[in-house]
Amino acid sequence: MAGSSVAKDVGLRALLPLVKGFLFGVVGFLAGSGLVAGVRALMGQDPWKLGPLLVVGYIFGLVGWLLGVGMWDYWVREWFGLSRKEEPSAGWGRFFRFCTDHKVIGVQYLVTFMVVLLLGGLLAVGMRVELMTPGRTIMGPGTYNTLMSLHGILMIAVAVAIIIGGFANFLVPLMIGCEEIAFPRINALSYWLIPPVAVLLLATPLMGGFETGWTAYPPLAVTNPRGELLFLLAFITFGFSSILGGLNFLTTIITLRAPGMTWFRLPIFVWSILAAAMISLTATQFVGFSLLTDVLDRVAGTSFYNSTQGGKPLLFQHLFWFYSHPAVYIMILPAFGIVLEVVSHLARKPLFAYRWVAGSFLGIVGLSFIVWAHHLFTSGMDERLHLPFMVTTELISIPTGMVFLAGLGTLWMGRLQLNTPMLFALGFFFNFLIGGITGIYLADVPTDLHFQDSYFVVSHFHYTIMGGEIFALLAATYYWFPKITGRMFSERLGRLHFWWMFVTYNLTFIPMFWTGLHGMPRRVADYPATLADTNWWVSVFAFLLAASFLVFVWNMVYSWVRGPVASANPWQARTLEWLTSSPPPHGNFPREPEVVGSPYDYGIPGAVHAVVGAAAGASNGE
Amino acid sequence: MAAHPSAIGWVPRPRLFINRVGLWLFILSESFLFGAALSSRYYLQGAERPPEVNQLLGLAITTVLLASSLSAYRAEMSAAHGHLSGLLRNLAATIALGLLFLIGVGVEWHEAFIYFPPADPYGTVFFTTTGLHAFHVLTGVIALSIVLYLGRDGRFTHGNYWGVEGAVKYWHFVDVAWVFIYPTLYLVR
Amino acid sequence: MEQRGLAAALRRGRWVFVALMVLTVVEFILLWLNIPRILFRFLLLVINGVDAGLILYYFMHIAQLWRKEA
Ligand SMILES: [Cu+2]
Repeated sequence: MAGSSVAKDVGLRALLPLVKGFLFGVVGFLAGSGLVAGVRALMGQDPWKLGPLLVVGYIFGLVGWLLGVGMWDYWVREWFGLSRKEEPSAGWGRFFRFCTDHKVIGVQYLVTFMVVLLLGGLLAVGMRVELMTPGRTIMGPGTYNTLMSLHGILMIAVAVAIIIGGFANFLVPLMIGCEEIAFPRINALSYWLIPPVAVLLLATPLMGGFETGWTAYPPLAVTNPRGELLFLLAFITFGFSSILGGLNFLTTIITLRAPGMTWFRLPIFVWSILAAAMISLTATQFVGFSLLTDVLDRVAGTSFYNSTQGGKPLLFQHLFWFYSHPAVYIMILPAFGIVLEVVSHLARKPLFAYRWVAGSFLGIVGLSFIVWAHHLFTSGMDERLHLPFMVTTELISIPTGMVFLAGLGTLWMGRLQLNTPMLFALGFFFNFLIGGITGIYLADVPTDLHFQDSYFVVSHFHYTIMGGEIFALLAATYYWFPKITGRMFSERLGRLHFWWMFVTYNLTFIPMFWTGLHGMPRRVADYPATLADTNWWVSVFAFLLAASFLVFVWNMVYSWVRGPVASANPWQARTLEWLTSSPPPHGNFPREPEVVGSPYDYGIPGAVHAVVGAAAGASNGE
Repeated sequence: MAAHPSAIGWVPRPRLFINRVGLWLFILSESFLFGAALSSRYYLQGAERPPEVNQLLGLAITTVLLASSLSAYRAEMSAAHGHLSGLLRNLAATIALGLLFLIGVGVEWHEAFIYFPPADPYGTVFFTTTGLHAFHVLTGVIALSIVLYLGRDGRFTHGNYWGVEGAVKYWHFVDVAWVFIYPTLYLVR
Repeated sequence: MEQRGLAAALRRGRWVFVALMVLTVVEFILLWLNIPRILFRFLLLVINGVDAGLILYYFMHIAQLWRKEA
């Protein structure tokens, strides 16, 4: 039936765009660096100075890569008055090329960043091996610092991009009842900016590594080996991708809601993405600029941070944290959205205080822009700024607490189904409570002066992001697995994964609060010998924690290939994504859905959220 | 399965409105970038400025950029009213003025290298901010050139002129950014 | 009819441009007068705010976002 109307990739030819992208990238790199060498030679300067060659070569190489992988075929041709090529709308080749289908892009993001997550986890295992005993165990401090920095930036990238890029891409158009994201080609562009980031980061050890951690503070970032430059370029590229993603989600949610989908009928996950997208659209420019100033100080001879010339290194910290504090809300807001979604649908209860939660999300966004300097309490910033930033930081716990209580209120007296997604959501509440409460000591200036840069901070941060966001991510992965793959995972292995991970996770990180209080510094390969016993045990539990992911990966891979076929709505949930087949067809719904009520009216007889096609009569009333 | 299931039962998407919202959000995002650059200037330097800054050249390139905004506006209005020759003429004028602005910045840089090179504290913010802005001007010139090239056949004067509108809006934004950069680098004391 | 609309739009554009130029020249002249720093900075802020407002409203048609067009 489809015949010639559906272009399809066959066999290995499907990988052609990747090869083309790689070749164009190499050509672009050579052209860019050649250009710089030529210009410098003409101006009588040393043409082979590596910094400028790398930077300009990379920019040209990036453009070449994007054009080769599909931007030329499906986009840029139009700018030259040529007709756009038709995109294949079926076949596995779509996953390896510039594809504009939001569901394909969602899967691309999810799989890519799951791999990055495992990679970052392996690096953490390496760090824990070194930290098993005080003194040198297997590596020197330089190697350890590079390992630590790479672990940091890879995991930050996962935390920022995996839920928004993966789940939001797949789910937001479904949940608001439209067929495609607002700017599909920009969406594909934001994904294809990611592989160069990965290549640069993995190449950093070849150029001397980088030791600044993911925060790239000058002056170290300016004087570090050249691996730092690759890291800076990678981070800037990643930021650009994140901005384009935020732009796309905001536009989609503002303009493409289905008829009847009013603001207060939006599923709460969509609200959380809206809030997170506001931050990534705007604040990310600041981190881009801060990293750019590092690059300029390195290769263009400016003196932003060269204090002998009148530069001020503290400027970097202000610019950097103006993004990087709000960035934690890019990570955690979608996690809030996920657990509230899961809890409401699986406890069969209306979402408690829905409007307050939506308002709290926006409140968090607003407050997140005026708290950044709490990262500078010990940096020598003007002391008059301590009090205001302490107060604003603690104010955030009000909307955050409201979201937390809404979750508990939804669970209260619910008919809980204690299956894998629900278990992970409950794990989120437990871990995030610990993460949130320990955060108060870091927001308070008197205690922060002592805890700053100790393992207490490491543990606090991991409790919010790993115990919080990653647990929510796993809840989402199990919850939406049948929708995305059309197959069911093994519930037994899922529960095994949860308990194994939950127990080892807490055994790994609880002791870190203690080691931090006893003076163990973060980002250092060594520690006082008195902490040896505790650290040995922490490492052992960390290895067990890492091993729990083997169960997860096995369950996912095996179930995707061999799992039983899933029905359209295995959880009997009411949001729109469950009103279409699993996986949803190209175009999402057979007809445009019409929204007539709240998505959370569980237990209310006759309540309906949406109708898809009057004739079909498919609706989700009870 | 049909290739385009979307053809039936869907209200058409408000494409123009979507494009406008997207572009305005992009402009909002970019204004944070320039905000970062300008606030860095004040953080590093306060309102200090070396006496060698070429005031007449600054006023001249500001005038050129404002004039280019006028011609860009005229181009968009011409497209909206189906006036092809007006569109093409004004687009060409905008591109020319944009290039003239870039030449002005080039002259400015040439002088700046002598009086306050990039290693100098004022040179640091001056080169970074004007460089960032000039890069945006360059991308705007490229966008306008593409629109001029595509618009020769009159496609924009028959109803759908989003291509013109988008490039022109971006161009105006680059002008707005300069409206704040000019006093920050040249005037404030 | 069409042409009259265009002529009116072009006339409006000219006036906006004149206003922008006047404001720019005013801030340029202010630079050379010895007015107090605080007042000068305040005036710069006001003038550039008006500049930006004029461009956003008349040149970029920001009102398109919330006003339904005929
Ligand atoms: Cu913070």
